[in-house]
Amino acid sequence: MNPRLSALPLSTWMNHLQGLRNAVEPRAERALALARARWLFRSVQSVGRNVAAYGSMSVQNEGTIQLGDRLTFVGGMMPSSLVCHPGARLSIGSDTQFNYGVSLEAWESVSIGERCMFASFVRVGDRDGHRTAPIVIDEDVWVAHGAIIMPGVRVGARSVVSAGSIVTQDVPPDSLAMGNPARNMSLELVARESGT
Amino acid sequence: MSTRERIRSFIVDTFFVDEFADDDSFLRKGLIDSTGMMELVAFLEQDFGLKLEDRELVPENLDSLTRVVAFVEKKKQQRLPQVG
Repeated sequence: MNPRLSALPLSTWMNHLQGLRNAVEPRAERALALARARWLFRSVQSVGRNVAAYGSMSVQNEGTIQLGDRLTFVGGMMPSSLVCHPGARLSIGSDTQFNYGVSLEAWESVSIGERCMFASFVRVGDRDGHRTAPIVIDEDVWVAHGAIIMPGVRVGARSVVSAGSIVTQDVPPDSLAMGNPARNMSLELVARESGT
Repeated sequence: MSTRERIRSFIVDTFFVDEFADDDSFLRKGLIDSTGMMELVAFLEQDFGLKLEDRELVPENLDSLTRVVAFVEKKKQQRLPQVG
């Protein structure tokens, strides 16, 4: 064995290798996510820059889908799904993030604003078997795990939808929607300033 | 039991808080969280037979015992003419 190599203990070499791996791995994952998004959204008319998909997804586009810049689709135990039916419109604003298992379906129109956050297993669909009505989600909205946004609903800017909520009526801006059917209360009533 | 005592005992029993002043902010003192606030609203509606509108769920109406009592009394006053 090379005496210079063996001069350092094996653990040091292992640490070096681990450090190299830690530095390279996130970048490789990022590059893979960008490439995967390109492939997944090949049927989408307009895709912004730096859209990343970190897991498998199902995309079915027979209408018009518009995706903003810097979207993130996180991978996980269930693939997210984007469905846009013929003649329908599905648009997502820049910097919005999606966890795994999110289901977006547009029969007429689903519009999502910028900088929104969608937790795992959120469902947004503008047809429920009774009626079809467009859904609008304004900017900076956070929809928590398992929430369902029903047809015809508008969620106002900076609002939060609680986990598991069924949102059947409009949510005003700066509100917290909670329950089934969801009720809205002012965020000022429940949201502490960060860090206090 | 007065309105104030009924609401206070509900809060103490439901949220396991001991001592709090009538004017303490539920939010800033960390007495009630968002789910708890929904419980409080449901309690007010059921026990006092009120119907609270979503736009009434604001800190001015609900963020301390004093405010809740004043709000409930106001809502009761509004309801009376319809009953009578």
